[in-house]
Amino acid sequence: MPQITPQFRAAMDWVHSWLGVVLGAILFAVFWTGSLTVFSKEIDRWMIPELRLEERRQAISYDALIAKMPAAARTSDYINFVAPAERTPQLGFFYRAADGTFHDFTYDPATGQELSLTASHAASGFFYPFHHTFTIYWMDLGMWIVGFAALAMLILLVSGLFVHRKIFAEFFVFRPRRKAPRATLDLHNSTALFGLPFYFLITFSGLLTFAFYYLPWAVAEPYEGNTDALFAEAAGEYDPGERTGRPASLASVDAMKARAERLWSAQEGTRVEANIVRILNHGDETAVVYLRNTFPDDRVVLSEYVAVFDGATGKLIQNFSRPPISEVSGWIQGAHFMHVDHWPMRWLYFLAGLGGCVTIATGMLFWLRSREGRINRHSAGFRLVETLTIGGVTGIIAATGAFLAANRLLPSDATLGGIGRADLEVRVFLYVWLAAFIHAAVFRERAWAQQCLAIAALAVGAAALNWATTRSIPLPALASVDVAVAAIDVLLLLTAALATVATVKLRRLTPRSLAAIRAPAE
Amino acid sequence: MNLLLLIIACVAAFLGWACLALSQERHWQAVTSISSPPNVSLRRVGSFLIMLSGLLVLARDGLSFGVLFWPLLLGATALFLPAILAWRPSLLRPLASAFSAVRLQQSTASREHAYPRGNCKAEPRNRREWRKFAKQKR
Repeated sequence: MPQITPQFRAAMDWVHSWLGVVLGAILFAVFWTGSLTVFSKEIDRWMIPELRLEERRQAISYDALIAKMPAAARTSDYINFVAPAERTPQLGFFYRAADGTFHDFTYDPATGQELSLTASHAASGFFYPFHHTFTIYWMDLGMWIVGFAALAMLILLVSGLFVHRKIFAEFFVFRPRRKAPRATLDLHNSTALFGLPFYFLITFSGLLTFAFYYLPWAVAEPYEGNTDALFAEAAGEYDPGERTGRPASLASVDAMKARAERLWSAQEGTRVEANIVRILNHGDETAVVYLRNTFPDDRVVLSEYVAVFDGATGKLIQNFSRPPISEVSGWIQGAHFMHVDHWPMRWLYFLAGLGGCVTIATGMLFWLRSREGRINRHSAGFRLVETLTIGGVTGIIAATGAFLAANRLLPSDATLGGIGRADLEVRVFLYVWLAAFIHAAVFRERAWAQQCLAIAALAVGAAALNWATTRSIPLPALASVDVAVAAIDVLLLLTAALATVATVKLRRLTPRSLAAIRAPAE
Repeated sequence: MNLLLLIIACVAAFLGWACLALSQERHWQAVTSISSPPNVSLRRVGSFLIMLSGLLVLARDGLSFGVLFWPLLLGATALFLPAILAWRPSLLRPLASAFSAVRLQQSTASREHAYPRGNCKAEPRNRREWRKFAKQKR
């Protein structure tokens, strides 16, 4: 085995610092929004109060729903229903109109009535896409940035093990009363080590989920570059082809669904339900009904059962189930999506994600604190890293608070310069985040305390606004259907408390007391 | 039953980490003020408890969930130890005394007499002590 020389460590240190400092803010944003996405369905309920439905497992008649569809959907080539689940008791429905635009509807499965929702992207529509695309869709730039950051994260994890020489010997060491850089580094090391298996898994699985996108050539080669053929074989996708224009009526979708579920359940050994009911080329003789089960709630592996029926006759055209070879990638992707019905695991994912945030933040903070005496604090490079650290850490948390507060404050018909309500909320998030960077650049280390104070105010404000606009008081609501909403309110208050403590502690840390702490050298 | 298994797995993982931490000289000394590590192999007991928590998780959740859940549980329980060792090391004294009951009682007494020590090995406990400490250094 080759020796780990000091030169090798120095090289690893170089990679670790440069990647960490350059991509730290991006990685923090990915980890932060990823942690929030763990509870995306609950945040959706908080931000869109109409979704606070009681879960009632009951049979849904898709035939009846199809009969009631809006007229424009009748000739749509793409109609999709999303079945209710434990965390999403509503029934989703969307179709693609002739001009290519998608139209969304949400139904109360108990009554079959359409719900008129608060216009908001909420967590599923904003935090989730932000997590993997930064919502920069121009040439898919955002996805490439996140992909590069994920690759960098893997390099950071490996190089970090070599940089910190005594990382395993000092496994449990935390010295909060030593010099600020020492304590920061201890926190960086322990949060990184304790979450290491998780960070490897989550970063790798995130990359793997989009492997077909980032590196399509090798897998597309056997299909001569035709990725549709690849997805048909690997994921059971089905293309019904162009409409012929000859109308035909649709056979009973409920009967097809029951048959598909019987087939799958027999194959799986437990009950498997169709989550997705999709009708392609509705109203045409080429119509097909596509049924899929993707997110089973009792195991990690994403199941891919797809059944395709002929729309007019109800005959089974294709019965696809995940080939055994993709069981492993299915498990790895499933481990990233965390769709399963396992609450302790979900909380641990959330905490581990926040642990990743702490690792990234302390890493950047250590870079600053350890260089304060060595390089000019007023140099452009130092100031840039300082701005990125403050704006990237407290800035995005404050922006999240502003996003939630804006969601409760904006009137239902708010528009500004042609931007709808849902997009306005996102603008609030982005502008508050940008403002946090500018604020950090101007106020420098004082910005830490000020932004913590802003986080506390926004978190309390958001919880109070939720109560004022929807009358769900945290404690009594715990016993009712709104456990999710109440839990978010409690978390908001907890965040506010932590941010207040941080503000008080940071205020006390004037430059003079910083010098006093630094005095007793090791 | 399921919840009970989960709680036992958490406790086993935490105690396992605590034993592993105490098996390191610096932490054993911080908790007991005795400089030598104990005779009983804390490391072996710690590893056993960690493995036990893994088995319990696997029994509760099966392989597919277990291999995901166990590392997360270990990380979450390990996080308490640096905090305890930094701020309240005495919380681990009952565990340490289970491994060497007699010697520990003596050491507690001697520790009280010995404190405050003037050398820089002792960690000042609060802000005031830090200031005094910093002044001495100067």
